[in-house]
Amino acid sequence: MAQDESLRDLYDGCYRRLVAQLYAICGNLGEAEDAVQEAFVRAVEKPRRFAQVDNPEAWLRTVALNVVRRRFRRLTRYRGLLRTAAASTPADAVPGLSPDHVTLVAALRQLPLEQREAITLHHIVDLPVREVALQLGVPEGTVKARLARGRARLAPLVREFAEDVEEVDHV
Amino acid sequence: MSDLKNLSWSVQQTVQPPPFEQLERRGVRRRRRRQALAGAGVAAAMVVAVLVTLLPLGEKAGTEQVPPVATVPTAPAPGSIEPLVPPEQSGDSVVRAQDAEVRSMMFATPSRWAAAWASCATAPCQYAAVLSRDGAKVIAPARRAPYATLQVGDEAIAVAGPSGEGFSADDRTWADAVLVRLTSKGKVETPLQYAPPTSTFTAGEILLDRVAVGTTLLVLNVADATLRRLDVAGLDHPRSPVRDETGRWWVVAGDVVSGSRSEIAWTDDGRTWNRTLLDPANPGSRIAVSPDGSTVVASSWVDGATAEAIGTLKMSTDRGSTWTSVADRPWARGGGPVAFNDGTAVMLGVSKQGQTALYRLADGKATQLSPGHPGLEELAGDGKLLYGQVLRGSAVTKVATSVDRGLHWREIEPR
Repeated sequence: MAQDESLRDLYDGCYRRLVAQLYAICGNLGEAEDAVQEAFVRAVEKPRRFAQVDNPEAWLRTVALNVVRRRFRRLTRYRGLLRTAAASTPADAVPGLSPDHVTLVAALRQLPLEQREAITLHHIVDLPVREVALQLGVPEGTVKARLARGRARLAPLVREFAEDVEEVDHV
Repeated sequence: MSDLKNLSWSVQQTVQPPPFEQLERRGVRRRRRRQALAGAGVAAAMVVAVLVTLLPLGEKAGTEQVPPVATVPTAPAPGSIEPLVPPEQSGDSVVRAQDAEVRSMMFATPSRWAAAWASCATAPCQYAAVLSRDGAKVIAPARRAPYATLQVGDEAIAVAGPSGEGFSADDRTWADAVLVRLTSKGKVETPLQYAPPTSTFTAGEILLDRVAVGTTLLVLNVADATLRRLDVAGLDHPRSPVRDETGRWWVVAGDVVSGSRSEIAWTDDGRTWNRTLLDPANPGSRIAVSPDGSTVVASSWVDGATAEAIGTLKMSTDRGSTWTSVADRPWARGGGPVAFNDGTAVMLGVSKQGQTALYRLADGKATQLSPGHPGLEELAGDGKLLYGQVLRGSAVTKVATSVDRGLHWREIEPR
């Protein structure tokens, strides 16, 4: 079927990319893969709905992101953390990452989930702030604030953030 | 290329996609299951329609209408309004929903338990609970606030509080607050009422911290079916309440903000509290006590860490008179701890390499006992029965139980 063909093409073309993006958010490769696979399974499960989607890759990313968020919320509840706490699954080692990248992943994992989401969608996926706001369902100002806080905390490790920590309106 | 994109690119190089066919099969299986369920629903509706047409129910003079399979009649609370959850949304449909997951589990005895379920397929989430007593099983009604599962004597009960913020008397969601028990005579649903805050509580009352939004410690009075806030002067953010068989209640306390000092506190009479330092620089996390009250384990957590990194792990084997910091503790907490009467405890811990394992805490140090049960997410219980929710894929529908302190496990689906 043509639809399956196109989904397969999409799988070949963007599975790795989506996993890498989700990995930056959840910090666990297994969890990132589970989330992206779940998104593709749902695309197969509901072909008609998926066929109506304007931007299939964005749709898959949103579904995967929701899987990660749901799991994150559950972990936070299970672990008895109150609202101020951050929680996620344990880190796992990704073979072949340079020591700098291992440090950067560790630093990303120190950020609250919402800052990681904003940083990833804006600086890795390259979405403009407006689209990040739409995808996360929060006002643009909130996204800018999250980006500013996240960039400030990552500044010691990320060159481009060190250069302009002060700049908030990076669109 | 930016550092972050560079990282993303490096990760991409390590990813090995599974064959597309594998995911395709999963998707197709789900589609078929959904279609089969929809077909069954249509067939059932047709059967009902035919029966309604053929059987002149309720038309004969003098025949009594069969009452619905009733729970105990629930008198409306004074000043209460219609329940906020539509009546057609039954607890059963929440528990059986495709996305339903176990949120909490309580075994009062091996054959008496309560499991709280949530279904978030539609917003807002819907909650229900299953209660089981010596083989009999009932389902608590659907609610918009999560159920807490608690132990009262040898009984497991489920409680849903108000879903509004602030825990105030005029919160209209009190109409939904309910206490559900399963007695030898069947299910008992009692509306829960608001009671004004107090600074003390009495023997027989239950402390809990997981049933309402925006509050810390609450007192449940089962006899009066009331719920109230406990405000103890000088005890900041008390949480993780746990009681031993002597009637002593234990909590951890202190602000929840990163870097806060934390304490362990306990009371024998509900009026006066004793306290000792847990961690000078990290918020308290959990406290566990053995049934006889002799063994106590408490932990603090380090903010910023993505898993619940443990700041300190303190243990007492003399009812809190002296405390030892546990050496070789795991990096992060995965569940528990559970304390035993013999001066030892177990917990699910996460090593620095990210592996979850069951740890034994004894003689002031932690040692890895076993890899634990795959997917185990929580740990509760006592020396006779350990249990916890199990994560499979992205679903939590099963609970693993062990009667030999974690050596062997079996799974049940508590619904």
